[in-house]
Amino acid sequence: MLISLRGDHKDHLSLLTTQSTQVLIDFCKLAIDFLQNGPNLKLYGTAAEKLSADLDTVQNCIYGLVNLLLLSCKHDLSEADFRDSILTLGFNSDQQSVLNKFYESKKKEITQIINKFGVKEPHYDDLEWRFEVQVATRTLLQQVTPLITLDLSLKTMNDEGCDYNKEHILLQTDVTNLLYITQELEKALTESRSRHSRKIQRALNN
Amino acid sequence: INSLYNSKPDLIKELYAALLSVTAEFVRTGQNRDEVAQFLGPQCSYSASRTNLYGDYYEKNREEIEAGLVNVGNHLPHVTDVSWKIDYIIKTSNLDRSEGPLFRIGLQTEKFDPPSRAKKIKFINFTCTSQELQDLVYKLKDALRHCQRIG
Repeated sequence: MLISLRGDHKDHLSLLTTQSTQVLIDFCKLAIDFLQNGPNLKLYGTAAEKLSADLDTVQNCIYGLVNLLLLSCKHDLSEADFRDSILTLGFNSDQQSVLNKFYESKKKEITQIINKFGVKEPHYDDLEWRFEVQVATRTLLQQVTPLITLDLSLKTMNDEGCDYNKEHILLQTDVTNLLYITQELEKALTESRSRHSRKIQRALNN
Repeated sequence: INSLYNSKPDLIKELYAALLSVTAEFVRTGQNRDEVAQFLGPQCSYSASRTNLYGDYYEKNREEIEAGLVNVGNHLPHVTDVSWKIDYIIKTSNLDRSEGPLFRIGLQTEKFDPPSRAKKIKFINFTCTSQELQDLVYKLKDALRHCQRIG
């Protein structure tokens, strides 16, 4: 699939279409540096002088490159798609191979980071169980009650997006409830393997 | 209660309180009707008809009182129901990708809440992939097998 860039985005990148491959490589390095350390105005200033353009244009160009990278990661473009998008923007084939290398090198990292900004909800981590018999409480001295104690641990991605918050929830059931719950969850699993679900999965993956 | 017998209301109150606590003690220590009669007859000098009257009431309401007493105390929330949903992710706001079947599980738990004297129901929701759900089901089946072996 081809991505289409906004009008001003295309203008920002148009500066690079006329330059040589070496300049393009330098700009890619500047863009990677921007991702790690933020904008480096001195370097942009020297680049602007060498190209006899002004600082704003160079900065916009760098931002344009980074945005191009982000859009491609967002849509998960394959190599062929990326190449086609680049060619429609007006880059020639040498420049396109440079940009391709740039994309490939950063793709995995950016996709991981973007992943973290999604909807965060508690995700199953582990379940431990213990079988016990309650023999007495303070208020009723003679009982025989079989119980199953469960320790459900759930992990939720925390707000900075870098780590999981683990939460332990202690629960209790008796044997009949346990049987019922196990049967229900098994039904859910078989449902997901049914024909209908498989058809939907195939449709989504294509 | 004070309107039952107009004379000596404080004595009536004491008598009522004593009756309540002795009934609770009987249920708590698990006495059956004969043991109750044994206690009431010789030790409190109750006549046979009174003991029988009390014994009848005791038999009839014993289970209810037991159920009430079991709830008093500190318990973990008790899981009573489970609901599941299968979702497929088609797009997210940050990333265009589709993900395979994602299970959304909701566990319904009940806990007896002393202030309101009723069972409070809370839901615990979480998601898991089909592999993790398989793992969870295996663990639960393991626990079940163990219980069935013991019982």
